[in-house]
Amino acid sequence: MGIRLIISVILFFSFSSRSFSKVGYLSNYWFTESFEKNIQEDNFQSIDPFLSSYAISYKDIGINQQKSLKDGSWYLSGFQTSLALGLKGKIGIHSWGGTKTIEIDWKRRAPKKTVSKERTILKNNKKLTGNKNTLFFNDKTTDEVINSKVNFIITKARNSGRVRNLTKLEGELKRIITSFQLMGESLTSHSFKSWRPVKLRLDLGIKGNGKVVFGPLIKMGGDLRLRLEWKKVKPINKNIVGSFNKSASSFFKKLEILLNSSLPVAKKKSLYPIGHIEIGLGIGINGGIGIGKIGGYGIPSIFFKKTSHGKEPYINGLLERSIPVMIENKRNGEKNSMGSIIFLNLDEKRIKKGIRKALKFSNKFMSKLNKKIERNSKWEIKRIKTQFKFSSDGSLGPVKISGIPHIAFYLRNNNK
Amino acid sequence: MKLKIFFLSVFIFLVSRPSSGEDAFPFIGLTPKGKSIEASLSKKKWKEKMEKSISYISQSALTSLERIEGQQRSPSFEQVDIGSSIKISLGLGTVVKGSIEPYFKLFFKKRRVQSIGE
Repeated sequence: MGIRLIISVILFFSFSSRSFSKVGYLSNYWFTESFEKNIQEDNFQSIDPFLSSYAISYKDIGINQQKSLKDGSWYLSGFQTSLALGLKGKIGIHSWGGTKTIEIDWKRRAPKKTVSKERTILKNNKKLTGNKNTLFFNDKTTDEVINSKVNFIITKARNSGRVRNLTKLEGELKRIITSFQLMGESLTSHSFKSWRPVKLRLDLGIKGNGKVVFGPLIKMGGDLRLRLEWKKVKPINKNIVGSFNKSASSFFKKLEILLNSSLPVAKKKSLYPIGHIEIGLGIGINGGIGIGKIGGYGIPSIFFKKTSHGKEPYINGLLERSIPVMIENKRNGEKNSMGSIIFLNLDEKRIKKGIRKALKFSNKFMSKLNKKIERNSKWEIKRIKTQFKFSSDGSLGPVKISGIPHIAFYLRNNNK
Repeated sequence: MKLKIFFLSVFIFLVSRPSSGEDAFPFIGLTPKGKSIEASLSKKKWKEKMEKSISYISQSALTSLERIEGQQRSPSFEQVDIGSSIKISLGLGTVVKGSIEPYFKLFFKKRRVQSIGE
């Protein structure tokens, strides 16, 4: 009897510790909605060992090599790494393809006395990081400029020898870029008070047959890749009649109110302020507009930035409505299938709750990883990007490796 | 009997431990066919590979940038970003079971020599 008891106790503790610890896996708390008020928040205990090791591994990486080139005009100022979540929530370093959950930008940890000097100098210098594969547009871009940019891409494609049907490509590019430019111009006709769209982004790939593809159909290393970015330059011109229909205007109005009510108003300087929020747009078959996938098919994602610092009043009644969200509806038993796309009407209160939780995740993660970085580390976090996806039940959670995000937060690190 | 209980306890303990990963980083991604995969690589080896890769790319990039600077060719940009991935083979000896390909980006900036206020 005594022996049986001992064996039972050993069995119980051994297997229970394995099933409940789930070390290395992100807690289910972040993927599900909770309607209970007293539910305990997850503190990333289950991924604590991973984060500790991760922070240590980048402590002085690349520094020894820099010493030999310290008198040069250029230096390694930072690097970017990414993390991903497996299908069951396991956290790891992103490799191969798939969606990154978190992108981390690291920068040199400068001694305090030189920080202000660097800030003053950087303030006066605009970052000129022109990527030759990124085309920039704004509300001053004319048709002539669009044509010249198209010709530029055609020339590049011809010189690469990787595209056969240049006539087809030219036609597709003109159509896509013109629509992209129109969408940007239409946004300028709306008056946004607190969260203002400052950028549109559309990533596309060019196939060998001249066809233009988007999102997951772009093959890294195979297709020519191009990024279109539109930025607002001119002040709002109320005389421009937007080409948006009523549903689009209503959607953007709801979206602004939603962001304003979901996200905190900074009464004092936040340790991790939001730089931008990126939201994917989706357009349904009947032309209705809603929240879609970032990098989704043919539709740009939109970047919002907070403009005013004061608390904006909002009408409670508007939160009773719903916003359409484009969700992939995977059929049962078909793990790797694309599934069908459906528009789920989620009530704004639910989306608001999801956004708040997503921001909480981002802040907590930044704070946790910051604490893991040792005082003598040569690198510190500059900013992070966290990506989130709506699941078919309407809950918003960190995006896993096979998912496509709907919303992304860009947080700066002001914690020195 | 006591010896049997001892070995049985050790066996149960070893089997029920969480999968050994304390000395390895997990790598997570999707294959081109959309299948989710995971692999492990020892932390020490990972750090060595990253250090080598960053050092190699930095050396090449900085040497090229200094040459351009020295020849005073197109000095109008002040930051250069380089995206790269490293391929690390997994396996034993000549039996290569696969590889992991983490992607990272390096940022290079031009050093400023002006004093404050300029």
